[in-house]
Amino acid sequence: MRVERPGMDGLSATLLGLGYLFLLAGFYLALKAPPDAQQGYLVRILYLHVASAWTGYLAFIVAGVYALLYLLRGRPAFDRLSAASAELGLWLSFLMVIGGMMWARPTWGVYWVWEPRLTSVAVMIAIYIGYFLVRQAIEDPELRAKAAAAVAILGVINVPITYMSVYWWRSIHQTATIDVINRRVHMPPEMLVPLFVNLAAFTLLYLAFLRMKGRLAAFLAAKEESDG
Amino acid sequence: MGNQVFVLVVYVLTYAFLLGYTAYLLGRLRRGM
Repeated sequence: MRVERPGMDGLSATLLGLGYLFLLAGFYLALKAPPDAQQGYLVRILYLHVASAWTGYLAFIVAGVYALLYLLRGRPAFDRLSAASAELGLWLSFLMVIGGMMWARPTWGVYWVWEPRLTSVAVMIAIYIGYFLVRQAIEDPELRAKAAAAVAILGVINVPITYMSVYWWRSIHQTATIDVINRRVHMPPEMLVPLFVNLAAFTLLYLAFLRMKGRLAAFLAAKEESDG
Repeated sequence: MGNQVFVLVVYVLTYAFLLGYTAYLLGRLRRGM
Protein backbone atom coordinates (compact mmCIF):
# COMPACT_ATOMS: atom_id res chain seq x y z
CA MET A 1 0.00 0.00 0.00
CA ARG A 2 1.32 3.43 -0.91
CA VAL A 3 1.20 6.13 1.75
CA GLU A 4 0.31 9.65 0.58
CA ARG A 5 3.05 12.25 1.01
CA PRO A 6 2.14 14.55 3.89
CA GLY A 7 2.65 17.98 2.29
CA MET A 8 1.55 21.09 4.16
CA ASP A 9 -1.74 21.31 6.06
CA GLY A 10 -3.88 24.38 6.73
CA LEU A 11 -3.15 24.73 10.44
CA SER A 12 0.63 24.45 10.05
CA ALA A 13 0.57 27.00 7.21
CA THR A 14 -1.52 29.41 9.30
CA LEU A 15 0.76 29.10 12.34
CA LEU A 16 3.82 29.51 10.14
CA GLY A 17 2.41 32.56 8.34
CA LEU A 18 1.33 34.24 11.57
CA GLY A 19 4.69 33.42 13.14
CA TYR A 20 6.61 35.16 10.35
CA LEU A 21 4.21 38.11 10.44
CA PHE A 22 4.90 38.56 14.15
CA LEU A 23 8.63 38.04 13.58
CA LEU A 24 8.63 40.85 11.01
CA ALA A 25 6.66 43.13 13.35
CA GLY A 26 8.98 42.16 16.21
CA PHE A 27 12.03 43.12 14.15
CA TYR A 28 10.51 46.49 13.26
CA LEU A 29 9.55 47.18 16.90
CA ALA A 30 12.99 46.09 18.14
CA LEU A 31 14.56 48.65 15.78
CA LYS A 32 12.16 51.36 16.99
CA ALA A 33 12.65 50.55 20.69
CA PRO A 34 14.70 53.06 22.70
CA PRO A 35 18.29 52.23 23.79
CA ASP A 36 18.91 51.05 27.34
CA ALA A 37 20.29 53.65 29.78
CA GLN A 38 23.38 51.54 30.50
CA GLN A 39 23.69 49.15 27.58
CA GLY A 40 22.57 51.31 24.68
CA TYR A 41 21.38 49.40 21.62
CA LEU A 42 23.05 46.21 22.85
CA VAL A 43 19.77 45.59 24.68
CA ARG A 44 18.23 44.61 21.31
CA ILE A 45 19.74 41.16 21.83
CA LEU A 46 17.25 40.72 24.69
CA TYR A 47 14.26 40.52 22.33
CA LEU A 48 15.57 37.34 20.68
CA HIS A 49 17.50 35.98 23.67
CA VAL A 50 14.50 35.97 26.01
CA ALA A 51 12.10 34.79 23.29
CA SER A 52 14.27 31.78 22.42
CA ALA A 53 14.86 31.00 26.11
CA TRP A 54 11.15 30.99 26.94
CA THR A 55 10.10 28.94 23.93
CA GLY A 56 12.99 26.55 24.64
CA TYR A 57 11.62 25.98 28.15
CA LEU A 58 8.13 25.60 26.69
CA ALA A 59 9.39 23.00 24.20
CA PHE A 60 11.04 20.94 26.96
CA ILE A 61 7.90 21.13 29.11
CA VAL A 62 5.74 20.02 26.16
CA ALA A 63 8.21 17.17 25.49
CA GLY A 64 7.80 16.09 29.12
CA VAL A 65 3.99 16.26 28.95
CA TYR A 66 3.88 14.15 25.76
CA ALA A 67 6.34 11.71 27.35
CA LEU A 68 4.04 11.32 30.34
CA LEU A 69 1.04 10.89 28.03
CA TYR A 70 2.95 8.21 26.14
CA LEU A 71 3.68 6.28 29.33
CA LEU A 72 0.02 6.54 30.36
CA ARG A 73 -1.64 5.83 27.01
CA GLY A 74 1.05 4.10 24.96
CA ARG A 75 0.14 5.86 21.70
CA PRO A 76 3.18 6.14 19.36
CA ALA A 77 2.04 9.63 18.26
CA PHE A 78 2.80 10.97 21.76
CA ASP A 79 6.34 9.59 21.55
CA ARG A 80 6.85 11.21 18.13
CA LEU A 81 5.61 14.60 19.38
CA SER A 82 7.74 14.33 22.52
CA ALA A 83 10.86 13.73 20.42
CA ALA A 84 9.91 16.55 18.01
CA SER A 85 9.45 18.99 20.88
CA ALA A 86 12.69 17.96 22.59
CA GLU A 87 14.59 18.57 19.35
CA LEU A 88 13.04 22.00 18.91
CA GLY A 89 13.85 22.79 22.55
CA LEU A 90 17.46 21.90 21.90
CA TRP A 91 17.66 24.15 18.82
CA LEU A 92 15.99 27.02 20.68
CA SER A 93 18.42 26.54 23.58
CA PHE A 94 21.35 26.78 21.17
CA LEU A 95 19.92 30.05 19.81
CA MET A 96 19.47 31.28 23.39
CA VAL A 97 23.07 30.41 24.26
CA ILE A 98 24.45 32.12 21.13
CA GLY A 99 22.40 35.23 21.92
CA GLY A 100 23.56 35.11 25.52
CA MET A 101 27.22 34.74 24.58
CA MET A 102 27.03 37.66 22.18
CA TRP A 103 25.50 39.70 24.98
CA ALA A 104 27.96 38.50 27.63
CA ARG A 105 31.14 39.41 25.71
CA PRO A 106 30.54 43.18 25.56
CA THR A 107 28.87 43.42 29.02
CA TRP A 108 30.72 40.88 31.19
CA GLY A 109 33.95 40.79 29.17
CA VAL A 110 33.72 37.04 28.48
CA TYR A 111 31.60 34.80 26.24
CA TRP A 112 31.04 32.21 28.93
CA VAL A 113 31.43 31.95 32.69
CA TRP A 114 30.54 28.99 34.91
CA GLU A 115 28.01 30.83 37.03
CA PRO A 116 24.71 29.22 38.18
CA ARG A 117 22.41 30.24 35.29
CA LEU A 118 24.85 29.33 32.55
CA THR A 119 25.87 26.12 34.30
CA SER A 120 22.25 24.99 34.73
CA VAL A 121 21.62 25.76 31.04
CA ALA A 122 24.66 23.65 30.13
CA VAL A 123 23.28 20.79 32.25
CA MET A 124 19.86 21.19 30.59
CA ILE A 125 21.38 21.00 27.11
CA ALA A 126 23.50 17.97 28.11
CA ILE A 127 20.39 16.14 29.35
CA TYR A 128 18.56 16.63 26.04
CA ILE A 129 21.62 15.64 24.00
CA GLY A 130 21.55 12.52 26.19
CA TYR A 131 17.88 12.12 25.28
CA PHE A 132 18.80 11.77 21.60
CA LEU A 133 21.73 9.46 22.39
CA VAL A 134 19.23 7.19 24.19
CA ARG A 135 16.92 7.28 21.15
CA GLN A 136 19.83 6.41 18.85
CA ALA A 137 21.06 3.59 21.08
CA ILE A 138 17.83 1.57 21.39
CA GLU A 139 16.46 -0.23 18.36
CA ASP A 140 13.20 -1.67 19.70
CA PRO A 141 10.63 1.12 19.14
CA GLU A 142 8.61 0.46 22.26
CA LEU A 143 11.61 0.22 24.58
CA ARG A 144 13.14 3.29 22.91
CA ALA A 145 9.96 5.30 23.45
CA LYS A 146 9.76 4.27 27.11
CA ALA A 147 13.42 5.02 27.88
CA ALA A 148 13.22 8.34 26.02
CA ALA A 149 10.04 9.24 27.91
CA ALA A 150 11.85 8.66 31.21
CA VAL A 151 14.67 11.01 30.16
CA ALA A 152 12.21 13.65 28.90
CA ILE A 153 10.31 13.57 32.20
CA LEU A 154 13.49 13.71 34.30
CA GLY A 155 14.82 16.48 32.05
CA VAL A 156 11.86 18.73 32.79
CA ILE A 157 12.96 18.90 36.45
CA ASN A 158 15.91 20.95 35.28
CA VAL A 159 13.72 23.58 33.59
CA PRO A 160 12.48 25.26 36.80
CA ILE A 161 15.97 24.89 38.30
CA THR A 162 17.39 26.79 35.32
CA TYR A 163 14.65 29.39 35.55
CA MET A 164 15.06 29.88 39.31
CA SER A 165 18.89 29.73 39.29
CA VAL A 166 19.15 33.53 39.01
CA TYR A 167 17.15 33.89 42.25
CA TRP A 168 18.54 30.98 44.25
CA TRP A 169 22.20 31.68 43.59
CA ARG A 170 22.57 35.38 42.86
CA SER A 171 25.50 35.79 40.48
CA ILE A 172 26.40 37.70 37.31
CA HIS A 173 23.33 36.87 35.19
CA GLN A 174 20.52 39.36 35.68
CA THR A 175 17.19 38.22 37.11
CA ALA A 176 14.09 37.94 34.94
CA THR A 177 12.96 41.08 33.16
CA ILE A 178 9.38 39.92 33.47
CA ASP A 179 9.58 38.60 36.99
CA VAL A 180 6.72 36.12 37.34
CA ILE A 181 7.98 35.07 40.79
CA ASN A 182 7.77 38.52 42.40
CA ARG A 183 5.16 39.82 39.92
CA ARG A 184 7.25 42.77 38.76
CA VAL A 185 8.21 44.02 35.33
CA HIS A 186 11.58 45.74 35.09
CA MET A 187 10.99 47.31 31.72
CA PRO A 188 9.20 50.28 30.14
CA PRO A 189 6.31 49.55 27.73
CA GLU A 190 8.37 50.68 24.69
CA MET A 191 10.60 47.67 25.30
CA LEU A 192 7.97 45.33 26.68
CA VAL A 193 5.84 45.42 23.51
CA PRO A 194 8.67 44.35 21.14
CA LEU A 195 9.58 41.59 23.60
CA PHE A 196 6.02 40.24 23.67
CA VAL A 197 5.67 40.44 19.89
CA ASN A 198 8.91 38.47 19.46
CA LEU A 199 7.75 36.03 22.10
CA ALA A 200 4.50 35.51 20.19
CA ALA A 201 6.48 35.02 16.96
CA PHE A 202 8.72 32.37 18.50
CA THR A 203 5.78 30.58 20.11
CA LEU A 204 3.83 30.48 16.83
CA LEU A 205 6.87 29.27 14.89
CA TYR A 206 7.55 26.64 17.54
CA LEU A 207 3.97 25.37 17.29
CA ALA A 208 4.16 25.33 13.48
CA PHE A 209 7.46 23.42 13.53
CA LEU A 210 6.12 20.97 16.13
CA ARG A 211 3.05 20.20 14.03
CA MET A 212 5.11 19.89 10.82
CA LYS A 213 7.61 17.56 12.51
CA GLY A 214 4.82 15.52 14.08
CA ARG A 215 3.07 15.02 10.72
CA LEU A 216 6.35 14.14 9.02
CA ALA A 217 7.22 11.58 11.71
CA ALA A 218 3.72 10.07 11.48
CA PHE A 219 4.12 9.74 7.70
CA LEU A 220 7.56 8.12 8.01
CA ALA A 221 6.23 5.64 10.59
CA ALA A 222 3.27 4.73 8.36
CA LYS A 223 5.57 4.34 5.37
CA GLU A 224 7.91 2.05 7.27
CA GLU A 225 4.96 -0.07 8.34
CA SER A 226 3.58 -0.39 4.79
CA ASP A 227 7.03 -1.16 3.39
CA GLY A 228 7.36 -3.89 5.99
CA MET B 1 29.56 51.44 17.74
CA GLY B 2 31.57 48.24 18.01
CA ASN B 3 28.88 46.61 20.13
CA GLN B 4 26.40 46.66 17.26
CA VAL B 5 28.35 43.81 15.65
CA PHE B 6 27.20 41.50 18.45
CA VAL B 7 23.57 42.52 17.91
CA LEU B 8 23.93 41.94 14.17
CA VAL B 9 25.41 38.46 14.67
CA VAL B 10 22.50 37.41 16.91
CA TYR B 11 19.82 38.69 14.52
CA VAL B 12 21.45 37.25 11.40
CA LEU B 13 22.08 33.84 12.97
CA THR B 14 18.60 33.59 14.50
CA TYR B 15 16.73 34.60 11.35
CA ALA B 16 18.96 32.39 9.20
CA PHE B 17 18.21 29.43 11.46
CA LEU B 18 14.44 30.03 11.46
CA LEU B 19 14.28 30.44 7.66
CA GLY B 20 16.59 27.50 7.06
CA TYR B 21 14.67 25.22 9.39
CA THR B 22 11.37 26.24 7.77
CA ALA B 23 12.74 25.44 4.31
CA TYR B 24 14.15 22.13 5.55
CA LEU B 25 10.81 21.03 7.04
CA LEU B 26 8.79 22.21 4.02
CA GLY B 27 11.12 20.29 1.73
CA ARG B 28 10.88 17.09 3.75
CA LEU B 29 7.06 17.32 3.97
CA ARG B 30 6.73 17.89 0.24
CA ARG B 31 9.04 15.08 -0.78
CA GLY B 32 7.87 12.79 1.97
CA MET B 33 11.25 11.83 3.34
